[in-house]
Amino acid sequence: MSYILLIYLILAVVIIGANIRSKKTIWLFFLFSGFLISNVGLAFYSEIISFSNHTENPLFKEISSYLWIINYYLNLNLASMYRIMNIGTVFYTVGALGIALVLVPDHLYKKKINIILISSVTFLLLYEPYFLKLVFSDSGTPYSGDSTGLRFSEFLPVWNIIGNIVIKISIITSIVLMVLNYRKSVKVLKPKLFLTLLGIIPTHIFFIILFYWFPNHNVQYRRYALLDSISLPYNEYFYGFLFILMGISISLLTFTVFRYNILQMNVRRNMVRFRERVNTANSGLKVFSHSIKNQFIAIKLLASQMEDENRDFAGRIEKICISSIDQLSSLSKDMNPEKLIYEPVKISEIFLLVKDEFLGQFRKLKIFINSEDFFLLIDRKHFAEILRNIMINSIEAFNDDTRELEIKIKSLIYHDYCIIDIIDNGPGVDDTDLKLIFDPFFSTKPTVSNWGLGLSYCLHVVEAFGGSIEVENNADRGLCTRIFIPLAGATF
Amino acid sequence: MQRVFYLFSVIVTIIVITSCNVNSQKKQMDFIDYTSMWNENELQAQYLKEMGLLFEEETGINIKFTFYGRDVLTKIRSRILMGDFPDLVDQDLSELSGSFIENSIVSVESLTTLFMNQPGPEGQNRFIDVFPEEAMKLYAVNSEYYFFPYIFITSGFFYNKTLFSEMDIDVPVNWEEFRSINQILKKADIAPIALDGTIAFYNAYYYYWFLTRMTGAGLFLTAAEDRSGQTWDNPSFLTAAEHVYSLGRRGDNFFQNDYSRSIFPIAQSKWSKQKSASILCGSWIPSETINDRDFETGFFPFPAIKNGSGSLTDVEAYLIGCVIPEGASHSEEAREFLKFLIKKENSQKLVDTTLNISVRRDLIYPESLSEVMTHIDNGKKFHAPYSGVWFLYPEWFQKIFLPLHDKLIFGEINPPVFVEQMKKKTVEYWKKNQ
Repeated sequence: MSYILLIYLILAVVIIGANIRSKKTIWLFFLFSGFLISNVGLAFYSEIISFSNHTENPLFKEISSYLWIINYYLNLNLASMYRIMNIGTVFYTVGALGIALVLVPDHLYKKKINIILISSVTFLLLYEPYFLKLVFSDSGTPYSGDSTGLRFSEFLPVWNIIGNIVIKISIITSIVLMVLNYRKSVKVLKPKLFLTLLGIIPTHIFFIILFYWFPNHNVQYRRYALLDSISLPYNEYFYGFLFILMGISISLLTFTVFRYNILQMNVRRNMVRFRERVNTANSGLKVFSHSIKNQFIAIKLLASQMEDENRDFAGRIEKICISSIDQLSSLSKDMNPEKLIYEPVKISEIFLLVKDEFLGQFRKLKIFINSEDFFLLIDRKHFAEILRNIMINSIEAFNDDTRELEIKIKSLIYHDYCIIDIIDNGPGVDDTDLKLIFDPFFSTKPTVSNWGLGLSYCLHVVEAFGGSIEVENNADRGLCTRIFIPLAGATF
Repeated sequence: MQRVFYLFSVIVTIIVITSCNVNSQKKQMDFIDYTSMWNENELQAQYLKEMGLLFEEETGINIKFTFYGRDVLTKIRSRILMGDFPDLVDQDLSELSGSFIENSIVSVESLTTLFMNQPGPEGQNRFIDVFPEEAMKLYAVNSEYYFFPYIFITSGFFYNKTLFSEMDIDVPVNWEEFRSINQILKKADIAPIALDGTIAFYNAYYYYWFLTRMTGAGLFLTAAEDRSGQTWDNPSFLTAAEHVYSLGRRGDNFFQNDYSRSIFPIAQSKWSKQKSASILCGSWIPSETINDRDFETGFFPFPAIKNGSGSLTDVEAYLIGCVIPEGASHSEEAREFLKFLIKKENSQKLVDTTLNISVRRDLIYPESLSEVMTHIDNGKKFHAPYSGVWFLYPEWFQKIFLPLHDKLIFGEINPPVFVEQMKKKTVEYWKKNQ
């Protein structure tokens, strides 16, 4: 088992390192350190009990003599070993509940975490061996019939059962919360959440079973407590089952670590692909715009040669040609990926900036912003352009004179993503068109100046940020465009 | 939340640091390092400390006692593995044998020369003449002596003499009389026998004593080491199981209520408070309950069984004593202390101050131990507790025998099932441990 613990340690370092900037980090730390600490306590405990019972340590026999050597320096007694297991178990339980809560978008998150931490400290103290000895040990001689200590010591098994139940319920609650959250979660987050469940739940189950008996302090506070009257709480079949469970848990954890990393790498791959795609598209666009530009230049030249009585008409033609030539030129420039500049951007500022722009231009437009204040690591200019594209689409699609267009912009943090919703009360989009809406050159309202590239551009930029975008019609009326951007932002 | 987290971390750090009691490297010591099974506040510990002071006065040699409690052997294991050997370790000789003698490899110093070639403290021909020879032979290994006993313990029924006298109950000699007096006690609403059912080796006293009375000592050991399991076919094992079963809740139910869940030392405490009439226990119990009971204790040996080939003169010899680990740096001084300890006047002090029975026979014992002494003095055959099975085959004893025996005495399995399971599991055990 000691080799398996080594693997857990390595995986713990990898997982915590990979999530170092995430909200989960602290809870992962509690979880893995709790697992390792409790097993360190169990190693010493099982060794001392096995030796007293003249048997081989079934869990840690390969490091048996090292445990004694280490204990020569540490001089741990049974109470210390319980203490270490107590700390480890509490850490693990705190980590389990913390991870479950951090995955649930909950405005009461901080309050709940405080409650968990305070409860854990209380549990730690109430099951601290020194405290139990004060309360539950027999006072005076063990034969004092009116000894309060003796009466309390009869209550110790009940106290232990309560602690045992609290630990189990906490870990099971964590599992239930994680599963419920996965079921209610949005599609883009489900792969990562599933991997989290797959990695953590078997570890929880293994932990519950390994420590199903803890705490059990029944004997140690007796004056004549004997180690050989304690048995290890496992029989030979149980050991076999434990090792199988351990194997399953470690295999799944290893698998999820690799898969999670692959998911993360896909995000980076999207960025690289984005650059390649944009390069390719850019090249194509340059060729395309060059040939179209030439046509417009030719028309402009022809217009300039028109006779004086048609000067007015020619002037308008020239103006259109110049505007189109300019548009074509700026298109290829804007798609240059080298211009993505990542910086911490306070997104509420961008919202307000875009809001002011649009309110200035469109009188019959109302914009509501409901955003938490946080930073994303993104390209400020392109993010603003994304918002503009989406809002322009809403404005262009809105053709109801009897009411005002309302656009609501909401943002919140969910898991380790920022979710931005842009919701309008326009006509929405036909369900058949929804699937095509991000395709380049697709538009439900094609005009001279609308070439159907806006949402395609938004999709590629959001993917470059490591996120995704989706649209759906609102239940009552209008369209909701939802953008997911990782809180860590695009990495490079 | 950050503050709570930091507070959490600080509390945990304090707790972890206080867990450890970091040992420094072994220092050069100029005293005898004596590690003991007694607890600091026990009478025996106080006795040893007094002996240490007297020894120092006489010889100028200092002794440092560390009272580790009954788990002394576990607690010094790290030291022994690291070469930091104490000079003296005391425990019951079965445990010492189990820990220091493994597969004929002995890691304690031989005392044969001391016992055989040196005179006794009062001029005896040989030192070993101080001890009961038959009991000493039980713990010899290939005719070599490694253990220096100073306390003799035997087991039997310790009873409330005052109560027996008030109820006009005679001390039973055989099993039928024993059942009869217990029924009288039960009718008077007094639990006849106290038992802490959570201590498996206390429960096991009953089976091993039944077997000893039926067949004499030794058959239990034969059954433990018989890899074929056929020894369990001997009908005595079934009869002994039936007797044990009859004591529990499925039979006469002579134990106190909830005996199976009674946590040591609750039952013994209740006995000392006259809630139970008798207890099958070692001869330490008068000493341990001296301050808590207000009745006179008496003793009778485990009753004889009809048609049994065992005898009331079969006496359990559970000796507590010392060894000198190989590698001890003050082994000569340690020997001198042991010789000092066993002197007549010092052994008498042991009896007077602790109410324990010394390994010496030539002492004056108080009235409360007179019946025990009579039993020991009448002893013709001595045997180790559980016929030595506990220290020779500890894993079999603890993993195979004790759990099944608990089920028998708690009425969870009946005698035929017990014997059948014992046979089966013994065979399986030896198959795995060739």
